[in-house]
Amino acid sequence: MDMIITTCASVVCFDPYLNIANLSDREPTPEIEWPELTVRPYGIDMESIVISQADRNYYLSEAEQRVFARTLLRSVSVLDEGSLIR
Amino acid sequence: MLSIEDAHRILTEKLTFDPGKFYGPANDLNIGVGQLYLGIRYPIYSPETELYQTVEGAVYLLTHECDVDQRNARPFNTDLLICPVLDFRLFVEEYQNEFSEEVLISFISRLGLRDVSRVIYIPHYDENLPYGGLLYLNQICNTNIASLSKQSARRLCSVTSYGLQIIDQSICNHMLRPKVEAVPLMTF
Repeated sequence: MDMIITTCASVVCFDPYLNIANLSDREPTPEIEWPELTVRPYGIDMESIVISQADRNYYLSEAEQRVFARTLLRSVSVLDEGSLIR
Repeated sequence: MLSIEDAHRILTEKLTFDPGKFYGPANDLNIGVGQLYLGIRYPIYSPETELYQTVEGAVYLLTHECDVDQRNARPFNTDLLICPVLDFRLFVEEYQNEFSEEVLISFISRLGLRDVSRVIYIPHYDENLPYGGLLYLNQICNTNIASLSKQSARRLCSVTSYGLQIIDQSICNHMLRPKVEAVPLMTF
């Protein structure tokens, strides 16, 4: 019985594929491939992606977001007013 | 008041990509990512009424063509993600109703330099997009594939592989950039 419980605990709690290994204090061993640590390939060439630097990324103000919302409303034909039925 | 012609010239001068390489014909392509359509139905949120409205307008398709291929009878292949296309002319008008000419010039310069991560400028294309348009990535929503068969719907064009890379890079930059805050349970 003890052996069964130990086996189950190992599988459930420390199986890296369940992605709950963070709950344990066990260090990953070199021979185990940890899926959550593996960089997954993307469909496009990530090498060429330029990530904006934090000091260059322009964040929209609240007023600017309102401008975008108004521009969207003017860019389309409204088909209904979304009236509440009930 | 800055004219649309001047605003477009300033933006084009700052562009970090070649607008002439951006579009191509979409005649032989299946419905899917990279195409621009006119007259597509989708929902938008109205802050005034606090309700969603059904609208028709120009959109850029985001869903991969394999995921909406109707020749494959399988679940989850009737909905597709779209990003509304905002008319650059209307944006310039609306922006100047709120801000000064100097602020507009600063903004569109940064737009051309692609410093605004959540907005992509797409270049002009015939009389439907005479000064180009904007893809505001936080307005991405979904529609049904039946919307593309309606009488109002018309395929405008496709972006080229070059244009697709520009848009995909911007989407990745906006959607997949590292979080500033640490999320729970991510460190040993």
